Parts: sequence; structure tokens; C-alpha cells
Amino acid sequence: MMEIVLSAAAGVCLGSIVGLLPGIGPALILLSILPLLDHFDLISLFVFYSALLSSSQYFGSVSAVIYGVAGEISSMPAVHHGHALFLQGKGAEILAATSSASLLAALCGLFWMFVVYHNADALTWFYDIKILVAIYLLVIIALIMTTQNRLMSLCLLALGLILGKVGFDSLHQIHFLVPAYTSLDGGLPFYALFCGFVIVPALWHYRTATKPVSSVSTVPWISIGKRLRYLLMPSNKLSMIRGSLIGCMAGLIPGASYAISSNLADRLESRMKNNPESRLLAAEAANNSAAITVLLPLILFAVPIIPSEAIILGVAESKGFGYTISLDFIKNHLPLLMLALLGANMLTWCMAGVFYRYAILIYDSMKYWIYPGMIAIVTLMVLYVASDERQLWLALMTYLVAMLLGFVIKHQDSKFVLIFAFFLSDSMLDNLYRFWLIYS
Amino acid sequence: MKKLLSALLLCTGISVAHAKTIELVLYYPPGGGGDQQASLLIKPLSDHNITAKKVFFKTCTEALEYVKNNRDAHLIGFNSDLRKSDTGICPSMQRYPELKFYSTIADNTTMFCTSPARNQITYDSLKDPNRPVLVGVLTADANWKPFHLFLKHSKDPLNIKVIPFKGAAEVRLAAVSGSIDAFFIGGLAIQMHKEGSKCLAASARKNWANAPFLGDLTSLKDFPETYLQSLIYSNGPIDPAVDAALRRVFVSQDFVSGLKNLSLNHTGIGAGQSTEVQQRNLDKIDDLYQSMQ
Repeated sequence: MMEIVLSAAAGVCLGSIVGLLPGIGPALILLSILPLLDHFDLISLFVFYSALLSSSQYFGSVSAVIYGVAGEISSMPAVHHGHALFLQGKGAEILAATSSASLLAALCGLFWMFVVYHNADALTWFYDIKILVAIYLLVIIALIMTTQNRLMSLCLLALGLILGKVGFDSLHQIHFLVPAYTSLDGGLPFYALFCGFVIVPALWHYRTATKPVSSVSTVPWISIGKRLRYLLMPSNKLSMIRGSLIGCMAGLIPGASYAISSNLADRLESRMKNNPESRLLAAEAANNSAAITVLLPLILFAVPIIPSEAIILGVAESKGFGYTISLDFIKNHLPLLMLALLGANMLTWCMAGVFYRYAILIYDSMKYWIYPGMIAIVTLMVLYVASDERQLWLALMTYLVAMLLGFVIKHQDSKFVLIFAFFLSDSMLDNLYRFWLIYS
Repeated sequence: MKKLLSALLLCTGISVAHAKTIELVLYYPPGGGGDQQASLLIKPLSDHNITAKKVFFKTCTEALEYVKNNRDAHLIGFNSDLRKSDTGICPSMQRYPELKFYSTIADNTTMFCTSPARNQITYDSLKDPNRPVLVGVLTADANWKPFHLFLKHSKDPLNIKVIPFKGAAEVRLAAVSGSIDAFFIGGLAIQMHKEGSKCLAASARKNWANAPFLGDLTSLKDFPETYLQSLIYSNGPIDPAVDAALRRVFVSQDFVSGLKNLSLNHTGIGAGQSTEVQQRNLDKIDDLYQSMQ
């Protein structure tokens, strides 16, 4: 039990940092700490990840509201409405209200999880090969459609599928692009590949793209009493509820998920109640409920619908997780995961209120050196993992070539299509092959 | 209070000092027969102060390399894969002289059964030329070889379309969801039988479902029995503390009743067979597999 609590706490801490630092999304941070994830057991890994995802939504609004910096597309409503309200001197109220909206939305998301838990046995038909193939195709189409350069995404999808297949294919019993029975059977050193291709170029970009910030003396102090009042008697409760419901549904949309949930809720709320505060609260609620329901396809079908889930799935598979045992996982572990998620949300809600001021201070002091520091840490970790796996030269070559490609290809969203394809290539191509056999 | 804290720290220190952590390394996807049998070992091992964790690899070579480089890692695999020659899924064990056979775990019979919702299918249904029966089969030797011998030498022409899988748990989901009509697997067949599947044939004469032996349905004289066995390999001689714990676990109530629920018979050192005797039996079975090439 202590492991679960510590994992949730670690997720909350890291999620807070992810939320505070523009550009460092959950996927990027998970790729950076990939070797450390090996130390979690399966349930702790999911607790850590869900706590990270959820808590990043609370703190994501801080830099957006106070500095008008949008780290992710999901922060756009907070930038548009929240920062404007902050400049009008309503910062304390807005930050208190958004954290309370996030907590209420989390409860809504957890309710959906509870419904799934109680109906897990009725979901076996979802594992029909044609349904699985349809889910994969839907996820791919949605992923590609939500990127800026679709042709590039399509090319990177193909490349990801090929790179994911490098090694020994135990279904067809062939060694694909590697000599027979060597340590290369396991495929390319993917940690070096992704660090070079995605992480280092992204960190380099954000190192130069971070905005200068204003003085922290303007950061408001938000009392617990004020925040409790916002939680128990929200003035815009209907906006929060609408936002939560939209988020619960949008969280299930492959590729987009919580990235579009806040923008979608913002647009829809503008038709119901067109004032900046209600639109902001609806968007923030949608953000957090989506960050919980996004976990359902991963847990149910081992199908990741956002890039960070693809990374977690890759780690979870080495610990015995897969769609073949997901129903058993739900029956045995989902209540514990929900409880941990509830605890993590409560903790983040408390932290978000009490530590906003300190969070801003941390952000201000970290923003100049955090990105170069992370590049150094990532490089050291690539070397450590490579020497641990006795693949130093291969990993180093992969890292350098991938980094070169990563700097040439600028489309960050398309790069995540490659990660997704890499981790899912086995199950996706295997099921497509079976589908073809059955229906040909 | 100070005394209490000191006592607590001392107790923790003692338990940490006595605890040992080992890894059970698997190379099939989770949820299959190997995974289930590894799970049967974990609980009783913890009663003997040994913490066992499962580690999954996508390929057999990775798993073997990992065990070769880690003294506390123990491979759980099958004799049909871990042989003297390359098998397709696994490299020859002769490439890994550091790895020593420790013990078998159980005898596993491979069954040819219907999916739970298709239990009206009989052996005669397989001969229907108008509709092929979709049969899920694992591509690893233990399933693939006897099944193809059966198809090749079947007394009657059968209309079967083979759908390949990597692991038993994948087959189970495909069967439960209705994607396939029947399957041919060892691990989890008993579970599917309890869920309503009907078994039409088996790879061994002695089998829990009393299904006809595959050899009875073929024109091939002396159709080989597969003698599929799950087993443990370690890097060199096994740690004495782990050895002692495993010997006790093999005869523990938890383990024995767990095997019984899976309709498996324990064959290893806990069943009174020395490692040497087991090794000789495995060599004979290896020769049998060789004859099936």
C-alpha cells in the first residue's frame, strides 16, 4: 500500500512540474524518465501515470492564467479568458475556481470509471478482432487528422510501424532486418531513438521559446476557505457540469482527447453562457474529466489514444499488461486505481491552492536552466541504459542519427504519431493480419 | 517512544536482511500458461520470505540474455522451445552453457476445443466443405507442430482455416469474443472448458478432458505425443536459499491446489524426481521433437 501512496505522490509532484513548465507535456517527461519507470510494479505504474496526467491539468492553468503562456493547445481557453481576468485583478478568484472545477470534473471522470468497472464482463465483445482493428484504424485516422502536417504524419506512421517491427517477430517467426538470435531480437534501442528524435529537439526549442515573465509580486494568495466555498457552492456549477460531461466524452476521442476537450467545452459554453469566467471553468473542468476518461481505452483494450499512453503501455507490457489480461486487471485493480486517483486529485487540489505562489516562484527560478538541464540528464540516461543493456555503440549511433532527424523534422505532433506507431506496431499489424485471414 | 521506534527499525532491518527478491522471466505474452504457473509460485514463495516478480520479454532471446546476465533471474519456459537446436521462437540452449536446468513445473496437455459460444461444433462439422472452421493456434512449436501433423495426416479432409497467435491469452480473448470458432492450445484450455468450450481432441493420450487423442484421428501410425512441460532455468547453480524455498513451495498446499485447478500434474523436484532424472526425460522428449521436424 505504501508503494501505491508513494507512486501517487510522485505522480502529483511530477505532474505539477509538467503543468507548470510550458512545452513539457506528459509524453515528453515520461520519455525522459523512462528507465526509472522500470522500478514501478504494474499497479503503481498506472497510479503514477494517472496521478501525473490529472495533476498536470491543475497546474497547467497557472502559467496560462498568470503569464498568458500556453504550454499545450489545451491551455488556450485559460490564456484567452483566464489571463484577461487576471489582468483585471481577479487572479485569486480565477485560480481558486479553476482548481475547484478540476476537482469536480475529476469526480465526474471517476464516476465513468466506476460504471466501466461494474460492467467489465459485458465488454468482451469489444475484443472481437474486427472491433479491435476498427479501434486501431479509428485511432490512427484521428491521430493523423489532428496533426498539422498530415502527409508527414502518414510517413512517420509508416516509419514507426517498420521500426517497431525491427527484431524477431514471433508470430511469423522471422528476424526482421536483424541477424538471427542476437540481442537485437528485441528491436532498436527505443529509449535512445526517442530521446534523440523527440525529446532533445523539443527541449531545445522550448529553451529559446520561453517568454520572459512579469514580477511574482502580483501573484495572489488564495485562502483555503475561499477555495472551499468555490468547491461547495460554485457560482458557475452548471458550466462546470457541462464542461465535465463534455470532457468525459471528449477524453475518449483518439488522438485529441484532453487536448481538444477544453477548446470544445469553451466553444459550446459560449453558446450557453457567454462570459469569460463560465467559459474558462467549463474548459478547465473538461480538461480534467478528459484526463481521467482517457485512461479507459488504455486499461480496457491496451489501446493508447494519446502519445503518453503509448509510452506507458510500452513499459506496462514488460510488467505483464496487455489487452489479453485487461479485464482481469480491471476486476482486480481498478478500485484501487480509482481510490489513488481520488487521493491524488484531493492532494493536487490542496497543493494548487496553497502552493500557487510557491509554484510560480519555482517556475520563475527554473525556467532558464530546466531545459538545458533536462537535455544533459536525458543524454546521461541514454548512456546509462545503453551500457546497462550492453548496447552502448548501437544506442549512441541511434541517438545521434535520431537527433539529427529530430532537428530536421520540425513537426512535434507528427513525431508523436511515430511513437504511437512504434509501440503499437506489433498488436496492430498482428490483428490486421488475422483480420485479413478471417475475412479473405 | 524512542524504544518503540528502535524496535520497529530493528524489526524492519531484520525482515529486510532476510528477504530476497528474485525475478521470474517469461517470454510469452501475459495471461498464458507460463504466466499462470509463475503466479502459482509467487504467493507461496512470499511465505518463505522470497519476493518473486514477473518480468516479461517480447522475445525468447531477450529473456535468455537477461537470465544469463542476472543471477537472481529465473526463466520460466517450455521444453518445446528450450531445446538443443534452434526452434524458431528460441535459440538453441547450447548457445547458453551458463544457463542450467533446475526443475520442471508441470505436464501440460494441448487441447483442440471449440469456443464457448460454438460448442455445437463436432468433429464432423470440421468436414463441412461449405464453411471453414476458424481455428486459433499458437505459432510456437508445442502447438504448431502437432496441429500441423494432425492436419496433414487427418483421416478425413478437414475444412480448417488456421488463425495464428503468439500467446494463449490472445487466443482466449479471440474465442470468448467470437472471433474464432475453435482453438488448439495448452495453457488456459482448462479455463475455457469451464467457460463452456467443448474439447474435440488432445495432443496426449492421458488428458483431463478425455478427448480423443489426435493420433486416433490421423492416418499416421505412432502419432507422437508432445509431452509439453513447463520448466525453470537459472544462471548457474541456483541460490541455496531460493532452492530450499522452491523445494518447499513445490509441495505446499497453495501450489498443489493451484496446479489441480489448472488440471496440471507437478513433475519436478517437489514430486520426488531428481534434476538429473528430469534432464534425461527432457532429452528423450527433445529427440521426439527432432523427429517431428
